[in-house]
Amino acid sequence: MHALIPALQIHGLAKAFDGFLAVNGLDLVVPAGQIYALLGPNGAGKTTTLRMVTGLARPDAGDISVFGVDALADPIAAKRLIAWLPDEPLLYDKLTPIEYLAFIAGLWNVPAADAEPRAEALLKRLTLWDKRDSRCEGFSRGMKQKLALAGALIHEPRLLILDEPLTGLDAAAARSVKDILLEQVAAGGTVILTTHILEVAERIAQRIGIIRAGKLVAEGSMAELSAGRAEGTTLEQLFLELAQEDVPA
Amino acid sequence: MIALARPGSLPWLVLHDVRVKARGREGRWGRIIAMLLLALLPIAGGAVMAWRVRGGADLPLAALGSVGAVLLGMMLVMVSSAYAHVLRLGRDRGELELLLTAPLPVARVVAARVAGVQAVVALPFLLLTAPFFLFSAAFGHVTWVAGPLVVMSVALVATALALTIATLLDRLLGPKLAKLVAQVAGVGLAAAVFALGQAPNFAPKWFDAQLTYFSQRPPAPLDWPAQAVFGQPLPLITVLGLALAASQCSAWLAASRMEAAPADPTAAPHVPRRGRAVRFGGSATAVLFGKELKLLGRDPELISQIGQQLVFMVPILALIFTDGQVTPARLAAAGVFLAGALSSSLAWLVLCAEDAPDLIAAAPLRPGVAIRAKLAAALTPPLLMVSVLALVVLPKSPVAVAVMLPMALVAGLASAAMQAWTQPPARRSAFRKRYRSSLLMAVGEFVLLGSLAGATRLILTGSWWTLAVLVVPALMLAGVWWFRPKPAE
Repeated sequence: MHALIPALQIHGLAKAFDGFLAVNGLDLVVPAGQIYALLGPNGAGKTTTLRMVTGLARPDAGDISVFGVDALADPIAAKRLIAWLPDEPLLYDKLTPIEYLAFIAGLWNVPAADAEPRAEALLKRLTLWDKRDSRCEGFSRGMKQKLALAGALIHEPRLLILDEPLTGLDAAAARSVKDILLEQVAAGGTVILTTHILEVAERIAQRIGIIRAGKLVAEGSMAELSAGRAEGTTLEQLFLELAQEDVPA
Repeated sequence: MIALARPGSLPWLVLHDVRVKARGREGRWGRIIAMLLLALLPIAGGAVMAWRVRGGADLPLAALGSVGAVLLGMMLVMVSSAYAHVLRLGRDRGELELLLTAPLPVARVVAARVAGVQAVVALPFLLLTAPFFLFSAAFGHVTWVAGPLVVMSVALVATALALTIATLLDRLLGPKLAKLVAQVAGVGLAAAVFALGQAPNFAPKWFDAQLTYFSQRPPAPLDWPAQAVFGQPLPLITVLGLALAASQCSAWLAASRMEAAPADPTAAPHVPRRGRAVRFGGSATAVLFGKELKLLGRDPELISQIGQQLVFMVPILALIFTDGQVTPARLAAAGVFLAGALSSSLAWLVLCAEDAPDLIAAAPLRPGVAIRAKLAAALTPPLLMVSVLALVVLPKSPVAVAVMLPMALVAGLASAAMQAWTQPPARRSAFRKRYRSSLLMAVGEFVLLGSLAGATRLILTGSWWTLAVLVVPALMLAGVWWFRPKPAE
């Protein structure tokens, strides 16, 4: 029964900025226990949608439900289930990695007995353990991104939302992040990510949604999306084709 | 204007720098009009002064001492100003990288950057002094037209000195420590200059004695810079020669500084110290409070800037509240004002300059938890500072302490509220500039804290005027709250 509840259910979501409709009556369902890639051209409304899901922006209209919790009526309960990792890591330059993780654990009220070993495991896994007492100000972009990911995972979120998680990462770090996302799903978690690297979405996502002008224009598994098209159609070809179509009113 | 210069030439590069810097500023036209109006003052003053000294000797021997002392003071201020710019030279590299990869001689790019520093250092002094020299030349002292050239020469020498000091400190201490030392020295120098400016109020006899001493004509060649101002050929040629050599030295030092590419020293790897183990398991309030205090304590640049503001306030407070007599009531009033001012700075840092606002907003916190924890962090240092003052006042007047402490808390909360309700989100590095866009806010805060401090003093004298004075901050806070910008989302 529990598995039938979608990780994320969005209905009629809308958001405008100064007359520009960034999200236009979006309907979206993300099943639990999957990696869901939300794709779209720049300005399509991906980040705005995800910011509304995480409680960072208030929708003008629509409903958001996270594992059955109404995110607009009870945002605190919804936030407990979510971790948000934007493309610019949310860090404090003057804190060390271990201090940062202790801070996040405090915000999400994770008991010390759970948080401390989890922090150690995450930092070791992301090859930051040797830097645990160094301030983040000297870290490279990749190190900062990895630390932000550790911060997102320290409270074991049921829904991990990542906006362009691979930006600025070297090949090894990118591989490590992809492995962690797969592990997260294998452990029963759900991952929603946006990316412009379509190969990544094609390779690791079970379902893909393509959003344009604030509306979902296509959705499904790779097989479902390419049904009726020439054999060997890639996600890139599909994406370019859908990105040029007119958006239904 | 940039279109008039040949692309890639030195003037073109300098104009490009000016354009880039000018476009980042809000209220550019207002600023330009204000500058023009301000420029009218030295023009009028210069004309009057030049008229008064017309017909005198071309080389006023009696004035050489004073002119030399003014040049020395000017040089000190210019070195301080140049140092601040030199610290950024080569570190704000984003756009510099583009210029250095363009097919232009590196020396020209460097020269453009150095010229920018020299111009910024010289400009205020040229605006102040050039009208006098030019009017004097028009009224008959033709050789005094050399005055602005000497001022520019002093700026060139000051820039070279600043570059030399910066390079030496970098080599001796490393970029990170050198920056810290420079900031602390900058605070000390600025405070010293400010205190010196207040000397006629505090120590008039000492000030007069110093004035007499520095007005004496120094022996040659120490009086040559002053002689050069009045256009004496040999001193003027010497000063200009020194300035050209200094300029060459600046170009060389700047090139080596940029070549060394000392990226922001704060970005240098932090040397870890194994100390206390980090504690997990704190509540949201505790971790937010601890985080804010850690961030404040680990930023020496911010601490020095806050310290500088407080140093500037002490003489003003002394003049306003002590009136020549230090009483417990006046000390209590000063304590309330200082606590409010410090709270304002810290509140801006913790409330408006949050590094990761989305992280806090995405956390499952009850409404008000984050702001209360942050306020507690902002108010703790000012209240500790007032507590120290309370220990001094307590033996003389426990009543003054009993009034000062709650009033300090009220002042802290009021100034923090002003910050929270009016100031937009910003980066911590914008701390020093936060009031530049709003003179009204700066004046408002001064009135708010002044009335709370005044009320403290009136309470202790048992005056019914207290109630009237307290109406001012109450009305101000109500007005600010009513007109505060409403969040877009």
